[in-house]
Amino acid sequence: MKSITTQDLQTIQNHLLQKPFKYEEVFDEVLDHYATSYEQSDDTLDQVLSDLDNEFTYSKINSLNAKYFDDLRKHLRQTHWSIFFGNFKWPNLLYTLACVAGFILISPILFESKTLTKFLFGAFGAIPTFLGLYFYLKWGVKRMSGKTKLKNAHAELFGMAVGFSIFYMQIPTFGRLIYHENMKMLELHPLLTAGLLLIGLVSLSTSMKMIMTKIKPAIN
Amino acid sequence: MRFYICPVENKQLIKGSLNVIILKLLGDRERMYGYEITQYIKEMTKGEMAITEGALYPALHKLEAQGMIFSELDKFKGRTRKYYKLSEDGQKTAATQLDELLGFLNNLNLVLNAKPSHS
Repeated sequence: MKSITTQDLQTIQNHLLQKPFKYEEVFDEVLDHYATSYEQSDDTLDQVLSDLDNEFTYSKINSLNAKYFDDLRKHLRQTHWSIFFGNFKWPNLLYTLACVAGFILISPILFESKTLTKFLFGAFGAIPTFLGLYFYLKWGVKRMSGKTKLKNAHAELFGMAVGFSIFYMQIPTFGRLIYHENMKMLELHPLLTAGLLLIGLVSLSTSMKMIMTKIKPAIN
Repeated sequence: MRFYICPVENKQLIKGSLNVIILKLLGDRERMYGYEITQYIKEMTKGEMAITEGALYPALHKLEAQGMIFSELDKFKGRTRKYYKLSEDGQKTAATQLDELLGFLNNLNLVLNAKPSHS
């Protein structure tokens, strides 16, 4: 087994960049495949490139791009729900119940302090949304500065990670649409205020876990 | 438990059992990357069975989307290497699917080797 040089790796990289790779994640995986094939082979780099090109044809790469994006979207959706429902499974259920009890206890305070309630409501929804947007823009800046020509599928799908938070911020709007246009859901009843903020906390925790475990590692 | 090794020309046969093969391999080893999987199968079957890269990577991505496996990224000699690991769900599915496949192969063997009856 030979060890690949930086120059060889750069040659493979440039060779692959001529192909219709769309997402960095797919590109990196195929780059490693080419590089490892070369390391394990006794053939010249040109021969290895030529052999693997027969397998990674344009149409196969296009299909790989499309399937990868579609599968990633399904994966993120599934992970999102599984993190959310994880809050209601043992042992996390204990923390959730403790939060429910805590919110019920402080519900009169939350109901009285409208500024605090509005701040918490906004923060629970906005923090993950802005963080997701930050990673998306971070990738965008990297692309615009010419460091890469490829897209990052995780960055493209950041909206899936913060979907719960965006939905959460729309709840008062739904209330107004369905019930009454002047309805202020946060100011109707102490328990409703506490309940909405509790949903916000669960949504914040879900979205943050999604961003930190799924989006951030794929972008850094 | 070992796979029966035979020359497999028909890509459909491999494609139909690719997921089980991947889950079984990842169940036996802590983690594997794409190239390693193709080479391991080639070595195990002495080159009789070859999994094409064009089939392997979409299968890995789909299994990851289904939560059967998960991946982790490591830096390796200046490049990023993606390792796949079997998830808890994948462990259960691997056992079930492997039993089903072996049962199917057993029945197929019985059918194909049945002696013709003369009535």
